[in-house]
Amino acid sequence: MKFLIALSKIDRRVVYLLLALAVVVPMIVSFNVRFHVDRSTRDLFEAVDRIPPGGQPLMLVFDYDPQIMPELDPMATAILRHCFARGIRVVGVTTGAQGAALGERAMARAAAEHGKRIGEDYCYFGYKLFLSMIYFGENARRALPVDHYGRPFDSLPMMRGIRNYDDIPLVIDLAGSSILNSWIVYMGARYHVRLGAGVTAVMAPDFYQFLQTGQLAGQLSGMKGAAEYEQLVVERGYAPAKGLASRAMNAISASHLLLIALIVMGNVGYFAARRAKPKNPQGGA
Amino acid sequence: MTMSTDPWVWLAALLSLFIFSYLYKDNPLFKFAEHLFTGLSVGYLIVIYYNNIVRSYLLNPVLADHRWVLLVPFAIGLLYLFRFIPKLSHLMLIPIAITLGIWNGIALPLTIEADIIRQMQGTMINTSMFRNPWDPYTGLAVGILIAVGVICTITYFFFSREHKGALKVSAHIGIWFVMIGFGASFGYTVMARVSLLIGRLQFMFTEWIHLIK
Repeated sequence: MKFLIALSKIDRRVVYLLLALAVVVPMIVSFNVRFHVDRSTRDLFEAVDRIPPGGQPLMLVFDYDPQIMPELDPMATAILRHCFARGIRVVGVTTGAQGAALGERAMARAAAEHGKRIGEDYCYFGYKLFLSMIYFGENARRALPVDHYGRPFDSLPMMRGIRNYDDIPLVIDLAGSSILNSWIVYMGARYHVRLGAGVTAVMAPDFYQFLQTGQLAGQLSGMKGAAEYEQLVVERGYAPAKGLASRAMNAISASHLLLIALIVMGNVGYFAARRAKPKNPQGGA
Repeated sequence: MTMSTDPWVWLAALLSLFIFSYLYKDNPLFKFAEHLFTGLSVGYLIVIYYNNIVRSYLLNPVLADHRWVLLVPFAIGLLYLFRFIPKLSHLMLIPIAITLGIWNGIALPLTIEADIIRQMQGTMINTSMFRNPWDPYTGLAVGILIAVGVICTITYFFFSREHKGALKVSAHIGIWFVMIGFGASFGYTVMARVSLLIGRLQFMFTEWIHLIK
């Protein structure tokens, strides 16, 4: 009985150490955990895949900051690799100031891998106010007067002919906050923009209802969503190897098993302690 | 096993270790990294705001294109600063009123459309659901489940009548839906937090210590 009670009183530092081991060991000792590609991921992939190469660009919105980068950066990389390998043009922008450098890095890295040229194959507008992105629905040129590097809208060849959201077949918001809801409300309802989303796992349950109503074309949920997208990109031959998110799936599985075990142990310990407690028939403290 | 020779990677790795040291207990290294992060974030944001907002939307259009009309909203924005002058602090209410008015005007109809009407439509069972009844998003089975879940959950939060009889049964079913929702959220939260740890450790074992290829 004492052993069972002790299970619910494990020092938190021991839990941290076990968790660190559960994450590190699967990273070093390689094994393959198979995972199922969720329909919401497949829907987003197909929505991107349907955009004609060399035509109207996809808009990728980097609404995340360094704190949640491990979940959303692999999504950005996988989507960009898919687009560039297929010849789809990409317009990058962020409505969160801290996302400006992250978006720039992700776009430059993916573009360099595929030999894509800025201004012709992709554009990066950096940080813009959300209000500017609403105004994009009226007048793209005035909403985004210059790109992240100070070049005027008109001097960017791939932006010629882009008047407003009517010329953007899909907008994907990679969000770590409720800003995604604002995209659904303002751009989805006002301008009927076709929206896709990549969200942190914490936020994922809050946005499933928008998939059911068709307000989102698809959704990537956390690092697993990124791993699923990476798998589809490799399966369709757009990339030779999977990325960081797929490699993290082993660690996620191991750490989840550990946490399930800890939750069970904690509950067993709690009930054992309750049973061992002497009953006081007269009540009181 | 080799290690990175890039000083920036070393700096990032050491600062990560400083932050992780809090897991043992609070210490000066953690405090240093925490304050450095706060200061750097503020400095970075000032530069980004100036370059991407002030220069793009105010200085360049006014100075280069002579769009003087933009000085009007700029002047209204400056009224915010009157909060530091107690006698004139009421002037600050003008930009606040304009901002609130504009956002409410834009937001109200769109929020009703996107968050209420479309969501209510999603809750209703319709004939298209019979085409593929087992579809996980648009099928009849999930449609019934959603309709029952929404109605029962709302009855749980209906406090104008005592929960007795049919209302009690419905409220009990509702609380099960709420609990399952909390469980799903908790599971996702665990995955999110573990993912953040994995991301940092991936950086340390791939870019700092070249242990993983």
